Amino acid sequence: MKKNLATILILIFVSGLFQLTGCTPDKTVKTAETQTEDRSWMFHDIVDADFVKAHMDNPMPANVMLIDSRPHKTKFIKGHIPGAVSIPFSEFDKKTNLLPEDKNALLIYYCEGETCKLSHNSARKAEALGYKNVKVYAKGYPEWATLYGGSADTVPVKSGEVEGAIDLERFAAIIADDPGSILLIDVRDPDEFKKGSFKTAINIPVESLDKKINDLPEDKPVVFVCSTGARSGEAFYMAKDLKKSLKEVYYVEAGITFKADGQYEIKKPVKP
Amino acid sequence: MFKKITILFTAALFILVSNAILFASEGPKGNDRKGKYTYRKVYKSCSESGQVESATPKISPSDKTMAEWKSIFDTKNFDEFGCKDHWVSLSDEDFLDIYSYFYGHASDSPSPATCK
Repeated sequence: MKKNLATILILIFVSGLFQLTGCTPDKTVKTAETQTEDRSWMFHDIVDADFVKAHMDNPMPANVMLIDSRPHKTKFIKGHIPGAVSIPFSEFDKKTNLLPEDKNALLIYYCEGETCKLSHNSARKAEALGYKNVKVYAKGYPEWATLYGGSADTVPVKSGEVEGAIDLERFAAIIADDPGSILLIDVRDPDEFKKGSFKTAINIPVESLDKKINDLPEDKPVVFVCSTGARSGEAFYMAKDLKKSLKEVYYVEAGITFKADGQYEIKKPVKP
Repeated sequence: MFKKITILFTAALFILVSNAILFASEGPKGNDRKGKYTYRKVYKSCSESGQVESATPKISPSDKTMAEWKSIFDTKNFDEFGCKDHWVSLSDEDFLDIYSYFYGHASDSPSPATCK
């Protein structure tokens, strides 16, 4: 009798413990159901890896931008989809100048997989800016790396022969393989820039650079370009003088000719 | 004996003149890229002090030949530029850089200044 009573008391105690800790099958099922139903945070236009692959190229086609919304240092640098531009969601407002001018351009955002909200939030902000063709690759980098491999190592910047100049071969490699790893600033006049430039370059004419220099981000190397190295060299020394916190600044000491089809030619200039 | 001395003297003179020509043709050895920025900075400072109308420099290296710029910079005759007090207070390094910019992009240089 005493034994039965003890057994009953133990059973009551144990079941009471389960109730307190919430280890009941019913509760677990309820939580999972709630999670799968709540997709309100997702962007309205989701695409898959095939779509991304069909629209990208090397170099990226005109009017297509693949954007990585993850943190730059802790995620993008360690691996990203080749050709992607790094615009972390946390820096979206500061980096709107990196987005294409054409509001009909195709923007494809991605981040760290199906539970990552950064790309969806970025896409909504892009639409709010007036971009009409915005997509989110929801499965993001984890799936891409599995299917095709990512660009695990960024192409590090390397100095050239003269002070401030970037190594030309390394520059060409960065433009081809990892353009998002640098902030490329074309310091020519707007009418020159319109006729042709690097796809990921932003235009800040050298005459107005001093007013904008404090807005330049410090999280990636800055590389100035023009058509001969004269204005970009000037921009380099301006940056070193007026924004000393910029640790990595370079310029392209070379003649650059841009062709109508988006191709370019880099030639070392003849020094006197 | 006299012949030997004459030959030696002529050879020495030839070497001296050749070196002079070579030195003259090489031009100043400053940093012309930095010189471009420093020149613009001088003009900006000039403009802020009201001594010139605009911060945009009016004189381009391609306005003169290498020989003309050499004459101006060797004699430090900056009347054409204005803002004499800014020019005379330049450091030796800044002076050489600006000189290199003008000389290296003069109208008869291999790379005359064509862009702003």
